[in-house]
Amino acid sequence: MEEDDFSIKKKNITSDDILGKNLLDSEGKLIGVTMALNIDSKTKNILGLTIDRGFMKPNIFVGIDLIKIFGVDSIILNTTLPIKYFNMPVYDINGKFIGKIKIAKFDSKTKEPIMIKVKSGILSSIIIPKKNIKRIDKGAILRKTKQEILLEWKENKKELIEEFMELPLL
Amino acid sequence: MIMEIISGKRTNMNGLCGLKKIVGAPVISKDGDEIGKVVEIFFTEHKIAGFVLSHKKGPKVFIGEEYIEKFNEDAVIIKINPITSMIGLTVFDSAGKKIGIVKEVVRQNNSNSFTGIEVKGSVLRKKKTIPKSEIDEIKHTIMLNKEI
Repeated sequence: MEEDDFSIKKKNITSDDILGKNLLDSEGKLIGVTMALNIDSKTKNILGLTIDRGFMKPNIFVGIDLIKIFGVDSIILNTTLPIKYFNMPVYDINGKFIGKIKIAKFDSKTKEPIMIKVKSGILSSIIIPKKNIKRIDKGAILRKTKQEILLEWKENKKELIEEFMELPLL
Repeated sequence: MIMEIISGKRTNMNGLCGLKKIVGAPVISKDGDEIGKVVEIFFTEHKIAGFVLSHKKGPKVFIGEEYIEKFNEDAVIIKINPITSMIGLTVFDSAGKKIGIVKEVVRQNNSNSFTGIEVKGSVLRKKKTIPKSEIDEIKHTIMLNKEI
C-alpha cells in the first residue's frame, strides 16, 4: 500500500511543478516560461499551457498533445514550433546576409516552410520560395546570390505575393 | 586609387578575394548559424590550409580547408557544425532535469568527431563525463537519452 502511495506521488504533478518552468522545444530551444494552465471547464481536461515569451512578444498557447515531458527543471515539447523561424537570419549562397525571416508559410503535410518573407531593409521585404532555399535550420542558406534573388523578386513580385497570400499560415 | 596589374595570367581582379576582407568575415556553420568571425588565415605555400575563427563561446578554433564549403569577403560557409560549438550549451537529461553546462568536448583526434562531453553542474560539483552514446540531440541545448 505504501509502495502504491509512493508511485502515485511520483506520477502525479501539481500546477506548482508546471507554472514558472521553462518550455523547450524538441531541439532544446527556449520558447518561454509557463504562465497558465488551460483547463476545459466542461470536460475538466487540461487543454494546454499558456507561455510567456518575454517582453514585447505575444503569449502563445501550446496544446497538451505537444508536450513530451513535464521535467524537473523544464517542460519539453515533442516538436518544434513554427515560431522558431521568426527572426532567423537568411544568407545568400555566398554567405552574404540578406535579412531576417518575418513570416514563414508551411507545407500542411511536411510542416516544412515553403515560402518565407524576409525583411531585407528598413522598409523592404522580399518573398523567397522554397526552390531558392538550400537549407534551413538555425539559419537559412539560399541557392542563389543576393543580386539574383533580388532580380527574381523584382521580376516575379506580383506572382510571388499572390502565391504567398494564398498559402495558410500553418 | 587605381591599381596596376602585373601578371602574366590576369587582366583584371574579378573573382579575386583579398585577405583583408576575409579577416573579420562571419563564419556560418552547416546549420546556418553564425558561429564566429575569421581572425586569421593559414597557408601552405600557395594554398589556404584553413581559417582560425573566434568562437562566440569557447576557444579559438582552426578549421581545416577540407571543412570549408565556400569563402569570400561576405562570409565563410563551412560544411560542418564544429563540435567546439557545444561548449557552453546546457545539458538536460531525458526527464528534463538540468545536468549542467558543457565545459569541454572529449576528443580522440583533431577531426570533427567526439567521444563525450564534460559537464559541470555547479561550483562545488566535479565535472561529469557523459559519453556520446548517451546524447540524443545537439541543437540549442543538449538532450540526453537517459535519466541521470
